[in-house]
Amino acid sequence: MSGLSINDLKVHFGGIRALDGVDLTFGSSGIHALIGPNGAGKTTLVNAVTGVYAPTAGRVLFDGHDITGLPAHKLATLGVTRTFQNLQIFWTMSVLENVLAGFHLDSSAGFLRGLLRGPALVRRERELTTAALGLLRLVNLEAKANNPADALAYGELKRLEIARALAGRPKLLFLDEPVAGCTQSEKCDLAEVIRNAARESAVSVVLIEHDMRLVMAVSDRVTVLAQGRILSTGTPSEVRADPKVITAYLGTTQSHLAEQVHAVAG
Amino acid sequence: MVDFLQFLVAGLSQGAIYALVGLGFSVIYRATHIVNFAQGEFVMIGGLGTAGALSFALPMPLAILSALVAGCVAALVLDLIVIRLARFAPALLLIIVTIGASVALRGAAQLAWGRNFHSIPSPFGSEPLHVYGVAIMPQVILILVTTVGAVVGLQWFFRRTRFGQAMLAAAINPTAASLVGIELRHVYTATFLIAGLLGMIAGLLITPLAMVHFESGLAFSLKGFAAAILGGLGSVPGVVAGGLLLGVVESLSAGYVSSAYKDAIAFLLIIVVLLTRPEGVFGRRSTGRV
Amino acid sequence: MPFFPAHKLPLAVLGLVLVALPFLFGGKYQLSILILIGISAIVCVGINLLVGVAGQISLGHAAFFGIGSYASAVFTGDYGWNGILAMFAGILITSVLAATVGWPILRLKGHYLAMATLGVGLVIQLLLIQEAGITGGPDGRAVKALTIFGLRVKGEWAWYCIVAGALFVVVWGAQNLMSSPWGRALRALHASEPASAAAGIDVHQMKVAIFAASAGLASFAGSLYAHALAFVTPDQASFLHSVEFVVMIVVGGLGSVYGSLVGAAILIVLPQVLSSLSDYENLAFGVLLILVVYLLRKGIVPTLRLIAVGGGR
Repeated sequence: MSGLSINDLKVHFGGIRALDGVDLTFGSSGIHALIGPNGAGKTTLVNAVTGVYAPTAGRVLFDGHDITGLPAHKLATLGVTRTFQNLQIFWTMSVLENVLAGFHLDSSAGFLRGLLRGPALVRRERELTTAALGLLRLVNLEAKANNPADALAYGELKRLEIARALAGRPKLLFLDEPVAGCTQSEKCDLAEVIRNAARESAVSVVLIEHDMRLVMAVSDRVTVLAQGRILSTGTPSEVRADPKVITAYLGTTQSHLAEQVHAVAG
Repeated sequence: MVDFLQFLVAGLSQGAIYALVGLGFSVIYRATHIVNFAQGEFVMIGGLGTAGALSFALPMPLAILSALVAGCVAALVLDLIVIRLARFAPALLLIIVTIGASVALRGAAQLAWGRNFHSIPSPFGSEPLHVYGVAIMPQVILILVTTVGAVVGLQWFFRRTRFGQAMLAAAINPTAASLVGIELRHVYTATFLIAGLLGMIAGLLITPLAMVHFESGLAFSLKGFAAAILGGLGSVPGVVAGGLLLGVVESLSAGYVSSAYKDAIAFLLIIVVLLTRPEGVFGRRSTGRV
Repeated sequence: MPFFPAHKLPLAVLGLVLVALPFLFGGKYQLSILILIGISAIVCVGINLLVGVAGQISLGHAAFFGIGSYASAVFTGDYGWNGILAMFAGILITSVLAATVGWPILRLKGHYLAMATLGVGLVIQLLLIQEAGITGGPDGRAVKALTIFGLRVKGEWAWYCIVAGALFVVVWGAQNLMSSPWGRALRALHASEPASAAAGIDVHQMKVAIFAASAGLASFAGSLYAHALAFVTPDQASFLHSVEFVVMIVVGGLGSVYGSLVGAAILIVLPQVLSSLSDYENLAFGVLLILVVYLLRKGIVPTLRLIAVGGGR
C-alpha cells in the first residue's frame, strides 16, 4: 500500500510515555495536519518516524517497506523528509546553495567525481541550479537566491527550509511548526506556499502546527494527539465538531488554543 | 599482592596529581566553556618557581609563596587574554589561544629558571615507610591528604560560600546570573585563579618525587585533560575519579604489562570509555532538541 | 564565454607563484625552507577540509604524517620496494587505519573528539618510538633516496619541483572538491547535521571519508618529507606537530584552501626567524600566536578577502 502507516508506535523516555500506542496512516497526497496541546507528542512522533530517536515499540511502514528506526538519510532516499521546529539552516551558505544541498541525492555527489570535476558534473550542477531557482520561485525567494542565508528574515528562512526539503523530491514531507514565530502576513505567505507545494510537487504533507486558522484552512485531514494518544481524526469539520477535542483543549491551560478552536468552529 | 598494592599506591598518588590538574580544566570549562591547554603549565610553575626561589636560599614558605605569586600573575594574564576572545571566537580558536599561552609560559619559564631539571625537597624527607611490606614515600601520603583537602575545600567553596554559589550560578546561566547582579568579570577571574592554584598545588606536590623542567607542563596538560574528559568535564567528583582511574590504570599497566606502553594503554582506555559513554564516566547525558 | 574562467584565476596565480619562488629565493637553505612549507601545506589542505570545512577537530594528524614517513623509510630501506610503491602503500595503510579508527570516534563531538584524536595520535607515536626494531626508536632512522623511473631525486631543486607540483595538484583537487556537491555536503553537515541527514546526506560516512582522505594526504606528505630530508624521527608524529598543523590552518584561515598555504608558510618561516632570538624564541612564538588569533580572528586569507570585497564596493 502507498503512504505511511504507523502501527502501535510507542516512545518512552524513562518513565515518561511520550507516545503511547499510536496507530495512524497518511495517504500519498494531500495535507494532513497533526495538532494537539504542547507535550501531546507531535514532535516526538515526527522524530520517531524520521529517525531522530528509535521508537520503544511499534512499526512504521512506508510504501510497503518497514522503515522503523531507519536513520534520516536512508529515509530521504525513500522519499521521506522534514523541516524543523527550530530552524536548521546551513548558515554559512547562500540561499541558493541551501536548496542545492537539498538536491544532494540527485547530484553527482561522489568523492572522486568531485575531485576531478568533469564536464558531466558541471552540466548536472547547471541543471540543478535551474531547478533550485524554480523552487525558490515557488517559495517567493528567487530574488534573494545569492544572498547569504543568514541575511534572511525569519519567515523567509521558514520558506527556505520548505524549498530545501522539496528539493529532495519527497513523497512524504513533515513540516514541524512551519509558521511558529511568524507574523500574520508571513503566515499567509506560508499557507500559500504549503498549498502550492502540496499541489505542484505531488507530495503528501504532514503539518504539525499550533495555529488553528492555518490548520483548518489548508488541511484535508486533521488528527488530534493528546498525552501520547490519538484523540480524534477526520476532516477539519469533523474534528472541530468532535466534543472530545473541545474538551481536551479546554481542559488544558492553553485556553488561547481553545479559543482559537471555538473561533474557527463558531 | 604486595606488588599490586605497591602499584596501586603509586597509581593513586600519580592519579591525585592528574585529578588536581583535571579539576583546573573542569573549573574553567564549567564557567567559560573553554578548554585551557595551558593548565599543565601551572604545575610546572608551581614546581620550578619554588625550586628557583630555593636556589636563592629563600626559606621554603617564602619560596612557595613566590611561586604562587608568579603563577597567579600568569593566571590573571591568561584570564585577560582568553576571556576577551571568548565572547566571539569559536572553540577551536580558543584552544589555539590557550596553546599559544602555554608556549609563551614555557618560554617565560625558560628565561626565568633555565633549561635544567629541578627538584624540591619533601618536608618529610625521602625515607620510605613500610606498611605490610609496601614501601610508601611520606610525600605520597602528603599528596593524597592534600588532594582530599583541596577537593573538600573546593566543594565547600562552591556549595557553602556566597561567591562560590555565585560562580556556580554564572556557570549554569551567565545571562540570568548577571541580571541578578553577579559580576561575571570577577567570576571568570576567580575561576582562572582557582584553576591556577590547583595546578600549582599539584606542582608543589609532585616535584619532590619527579623532577620538573620548563617543558614538563605539556604532559600534565594532556593527562589532566584526559582526567577531566573521563569525568565528564563538569563534575568535581567525576574528575577526581577520572584522575585516580587514569593514574591507577597507568601504574598497573606499567607494572604488569609494559612500562613503555603505559601511556598507550591509558589513552586506549580513554578512547574506549568515550565510545561507550560519550559524556564521560560520570557525565550526564544530554538529549539535544531538534 | 570569457577567455579565462574567473574561478580558475587563484589556481593560475598559485602556479605562477610556485614557478617564481625558486628564482626569488634560490639559495640552498631558502629552497629547503620552501620544500618544508610545501610539504606542510599539503597536510594542511587536507586537515582544513576536515577541520575547517567539515568542522571535525583532529589533534592527531601528525601521527598519520608519521606513518607515511615510516612506511617510506621501512618499505624502501628494509624491503627494497620502489619509493613510489612504498608511498602509495603508506597512503593506503594510513587511510584504511584512519577509516577504521575514525568510524567509531567520529561519532564523538567537540572536545571529546579532540581527546580521542589526541589519544590515537599519542598511541601511534608511542608505537613508532617503542618498536625500535622496525622504526629505529626515539632517534629515528635514515631514509633511502627516492628514485623515479630509475632516476635518483637529488638536491633542493629537484625536490622543490616535486613538492611544488604535488602541492599544485592537491590544491587543484581540493578546489574542485570544495565546489562540488560532495564539498557542499561537507559544509552542510558542519552547519546542521539534522538538516543534512534530512537532505539524504550520510553524515557519518562523509565524516569518516574526509577523515581518511585527509589522513591519506598527510601520509603522502610524510613520505615526501622522509625522502626529502633522508631522515625520520618519531617527533614528526608528536602531539605538538599535530597542533602545529591545526595552528597553521587557524592562522591561514579555517575552511580556506589558500589559507592553508599561507598558514603553513608563516608557521614554517616564523620559527626560523625567531631562532635568532635563541632563549626568547618560545616566548616570542607564543605571544605572536596569541596576537595573530586576536587580530585576525577569521584567519589571514579570509580577512584579506573581506578587506578586498569591502574595498571593491
